[in-house]
Amino acid sequence: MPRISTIGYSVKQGVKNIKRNRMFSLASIGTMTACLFLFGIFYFIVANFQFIVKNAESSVGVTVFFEEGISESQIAEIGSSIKMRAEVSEYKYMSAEETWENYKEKLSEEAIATFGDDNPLENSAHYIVYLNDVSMQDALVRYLEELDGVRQVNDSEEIAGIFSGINRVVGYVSIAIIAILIGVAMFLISTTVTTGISVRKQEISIMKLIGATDFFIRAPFIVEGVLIGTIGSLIPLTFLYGMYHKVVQYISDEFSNPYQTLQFLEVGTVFHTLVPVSLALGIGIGFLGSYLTLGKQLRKIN
Amino acid sequence: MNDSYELSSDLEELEAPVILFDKVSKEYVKGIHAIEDISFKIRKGEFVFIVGSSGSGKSTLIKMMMREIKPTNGRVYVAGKELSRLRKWQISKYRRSIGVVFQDFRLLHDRNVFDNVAFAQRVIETPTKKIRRQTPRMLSIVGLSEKHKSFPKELSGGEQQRVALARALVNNPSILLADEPTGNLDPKNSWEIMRLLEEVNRRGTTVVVVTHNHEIVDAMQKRVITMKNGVMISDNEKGGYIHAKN
Repeated sequence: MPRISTIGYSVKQGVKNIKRNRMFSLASIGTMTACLFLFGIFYFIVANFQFIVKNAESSVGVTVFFEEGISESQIAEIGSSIKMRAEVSEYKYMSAEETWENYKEKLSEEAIATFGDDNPLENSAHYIVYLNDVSMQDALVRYLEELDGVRQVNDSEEIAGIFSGINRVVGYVSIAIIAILIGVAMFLISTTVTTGISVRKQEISIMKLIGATDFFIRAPFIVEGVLIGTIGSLIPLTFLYGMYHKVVQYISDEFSNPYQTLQFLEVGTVFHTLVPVSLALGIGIGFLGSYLTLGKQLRKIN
Repeated sequence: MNDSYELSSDLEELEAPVILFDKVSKEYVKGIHAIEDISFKIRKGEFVFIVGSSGSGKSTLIKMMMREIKPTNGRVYVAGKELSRLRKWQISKYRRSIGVVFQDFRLLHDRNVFDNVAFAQRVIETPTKKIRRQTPRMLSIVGLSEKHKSFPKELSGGEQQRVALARALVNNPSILLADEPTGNLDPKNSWEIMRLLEEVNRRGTTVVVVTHNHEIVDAMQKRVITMKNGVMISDNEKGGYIHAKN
């Protein structure tokens, strides 16, 4: 276990490394800032897109019609089976009367009058089922079709397919972009640490000769990488925080519509995830970039 | 079997710390020996010169004692430990027991005299309080108390070597290895450094000096190991510089 004074010394040396190696450190912080800023913007888009899709998904319903002459207790039983499913966010019973009342709104007065007191949709009582994950629609439909007393299940396969497809593409693109950004940032940290090591080559060689432990030699460089990572993630987070609210406000004002289909995530909700993820990425990249470079570079110094 | 028995009785006979080279050879390039079949032992508290012209293999010997390189054949023991068998983490621990001085001083030019000496203690995780106590004491021994705030470039060669000596000694090593410590110094400064090394030796530290300065070797009348073309050609208990003929 290293002494507290050694930890303090390593931190001090790490800060000194950054100052001594100012240009490269600034370049690394700048790149890390740019990477995590882009990551943040990308996260805003993905998170909000998914939020909007989720809202839209909830409007995609599955309709479950019953067999003729089914009892009320059997309908209730089907209702309980629907309720049990994890992918179901909400379900609603529509009696034949309610269905006819709703349908009447689409007909003219004359057309309605021809039916008199009859309900032409007498056999149309049904459940409307809303999903919390539209990609599960197929599985749910298969399940509902197997239930006793179910005559027909109507789904919106096409819409569900589009939403699932978009979600998948967004997922793949996010992974690809994040991987590229991490690669670039790691490369830069590695270059900074390599430069730092070459500047301090003599010092490291003396350290080795007078009995410094591996930890003592490596610690300042690890501190340097972690500090660059931390600063490089705090700067974009500050910018993004200031920017998010204004951008959301602007888009909402510019593209507002009476149906309120464009609803964005609250700033708190977005940053609740973005802050820890960005910090973990920044610190992780800083740590890994310096740690991996150190092993290779230090072996070259006697 | 017989060899190892003799070796262990040799080790028992010597007091720690001790340096023992047992039939040591080193080939940097296969088939070309930098040193060949070298055997000698250095007892605790001895002052030994290793002399020879460039390329004679004397620096290879000191690098082996520092465990910078391993022998191709044979074994090097220091304080009873075979250096080739030391694991990575044991090497740093071992190096704390030896002090090293180089011809080119190897000081940190961005730190002042005090910090250069303190650095050696910081590296081995000496508590800060102890560093503050020990550093001025060591600087006064090498006569640099007044210059503790000076940077290396503000010092003469002799002064820089004294800083290097203070750094090598501040952790109380049992062995001091000096590789051409007077190589970059004028005669006056060279003698000052040698007097300091002699003083260090009088206090009980084993001192091994690699040099080709025959005037100093002749005058000091200490033990002299002479190397030529990678082979040890003499080991005189109290002698001068032997000018090896080709």
